[in-house]
Amino acid sequence: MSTTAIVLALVLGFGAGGLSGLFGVGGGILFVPTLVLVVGLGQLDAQATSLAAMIPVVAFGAWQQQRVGNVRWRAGLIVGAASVLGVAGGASLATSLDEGLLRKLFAAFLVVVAAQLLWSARARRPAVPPQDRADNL
Amino acid sequence: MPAKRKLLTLVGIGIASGFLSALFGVGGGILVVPALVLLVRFDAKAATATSLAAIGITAIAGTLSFSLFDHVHWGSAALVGLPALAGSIAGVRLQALVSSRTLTRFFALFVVAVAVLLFLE
Repeated sequence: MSTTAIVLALVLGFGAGGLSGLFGVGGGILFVPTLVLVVGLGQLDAQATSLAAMIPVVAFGAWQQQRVGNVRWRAGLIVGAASVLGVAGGASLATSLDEGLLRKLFAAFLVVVAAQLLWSARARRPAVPPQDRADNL
Repeated sequence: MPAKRKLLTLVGIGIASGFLSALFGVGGGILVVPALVLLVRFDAKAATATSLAAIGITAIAGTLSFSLFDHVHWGSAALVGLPALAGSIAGVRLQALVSSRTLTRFFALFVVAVAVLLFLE
């Protein structure tokens, strides 16, 4: 990998984290394109690597939220444990698909994410009422 | 909501998000956060925080299952994941400073542009 590609990957990784902190949308939707277009991984390997890349970001985010008491652990553990079943299904589907098709499906998924972002911008209200914000400082 | 129905709803949300996550290499927060708000009546703060805890488990499970077949490139994961950790801290700080509506629209357009690039790749 060239130095330019490494620098670009570092910058885009930082940007992906920044956008996930800013919008609450996970880094994955930006990790995958970075790994495909800049690092040069195949679609399936990029997706698998994206899951590994998000672990530190998500773990740190969960730890910070835990400190301010926002995490409902019972619900989180149930959703997380059940997700393992879904992961098995999703992984076997992803590995069985042609990579070109998987990339096109991922691109279509990005369009759905963009539509949801636009919808949330239309209906956006502050997640935290302004008078409560001081409590979080 | 009756406890049993709530449990089944949470299990359903988990299965769907795990499927999406492993199929596309994303966290699944795009599904878990609105589902917790709309179906289980969590407020936005609790939904976002709880989804992070759940996604942690999902991402670990996905990473392990793909690494069994050597699909995970660990060096590349560190290359984008570690700067992302720094970026996410900056992003949370910026959230309080910028108007989110315009920025969200620009971000949506950017995501569409990325989709077009990938489609042409």
